[in-house]
Amino acid sequence: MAQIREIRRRIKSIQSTQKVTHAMELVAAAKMRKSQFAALASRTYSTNLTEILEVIRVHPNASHPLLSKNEAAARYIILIGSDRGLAGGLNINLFREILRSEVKDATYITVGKKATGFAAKTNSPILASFQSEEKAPLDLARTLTKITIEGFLKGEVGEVSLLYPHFEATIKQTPKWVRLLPIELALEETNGKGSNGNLLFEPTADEILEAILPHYVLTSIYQILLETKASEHSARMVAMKNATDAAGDLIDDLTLAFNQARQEAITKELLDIVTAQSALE
Amino acid sequence: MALHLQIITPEKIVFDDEVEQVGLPTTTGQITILEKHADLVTQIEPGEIFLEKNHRVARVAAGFGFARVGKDSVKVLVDLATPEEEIEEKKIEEAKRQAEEAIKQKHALSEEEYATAAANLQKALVQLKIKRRHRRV
Repeated sequence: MAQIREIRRRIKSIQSTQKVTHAMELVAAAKMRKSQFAALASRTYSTNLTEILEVIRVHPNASHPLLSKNEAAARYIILIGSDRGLAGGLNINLFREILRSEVKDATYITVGKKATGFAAKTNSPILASFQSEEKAPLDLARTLTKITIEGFLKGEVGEVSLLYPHFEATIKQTPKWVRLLPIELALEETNGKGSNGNLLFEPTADEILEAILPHYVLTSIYQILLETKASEHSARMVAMKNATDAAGDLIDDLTLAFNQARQEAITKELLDIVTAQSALE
Repeated sequence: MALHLQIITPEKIVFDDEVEQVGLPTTTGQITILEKHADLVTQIEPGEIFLEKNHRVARVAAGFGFARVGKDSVKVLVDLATPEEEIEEKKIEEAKRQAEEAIKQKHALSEEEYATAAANLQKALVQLKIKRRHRRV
């Protein structure tokens, strides 16, 4: 009897856990749809901006401090994770990627509590840390852009890179490095598409670069923040779905064990009755 | 063949169709683009984008951004683009009021906050201007 009660207790506890994970799955799914939509919608904008920039970049007169290297040896890494856990391997994969690429002597700028925690554990200097949910993505992107561009133009830092969970599909997020500064573009020198040297600039190439480059950095960061959100919610939804499924399997197993135990108890009782009766006769 | 115009904001593609001509508010003044225009990259400031299709003119309120003109295509990347018929006067009025309020407290704001407020005000004014002028006609 004791065993039956024990099994029933466990089934109940797993059921309530399953309810919680299922609710979290639904919440994450709703957020996921919203954030995926936002991330995909702004992709058009950022890819087109990159195109414009590529066209300008091949122009012979194009030069700007943000495009060229500077002497500083320091390196900033902007690490973008999530504030909350229970999102499967999302954050862990990022940290593993950092450990794998053996980053040394880098100053961190972190977004998300988990990322801040990791950077603190590695004993690296942290320049700034943000929570990913306290500010709107655009404001956060503005602040990050300002910090990095100022540092770069003052010559305090020679390279700024960014690591974030890239959103590939609902079930797949991979850590991805992006080199933010100096701005580096894939030059298409061979086919020379777009630029034929006759490109006009209005007002001037320098003024356009002056305006478009910081905007490009801002847009990149903004896009990445949106992608991170999409990744986070997708990862969490998948993790919670797995947890719900696993709980379901456990409940099935336990129910089987419970039925067996109950049947056994009934058989034993019957045996007792039958033996008692036959002893009387 | 006509011009292929795309107006893209970070939120969505506002316009994507063939037109006969486009007027863009650039930092150096209003310019009009017809087909077979020379390659051009230019900077957009808050103002009015005209697009003419089948001899009908439509107006779109634009924010800050850039435009890339190719031989038969125009791509406009702006942080705000609202077609005239979607401008909601009350909302804009409210946004304008908020921006003005923010600008009044200039000393309490950081440089960025002030710039954001000023930009918002400029965009609100442009939208109101487009909406109101058209109604008077």
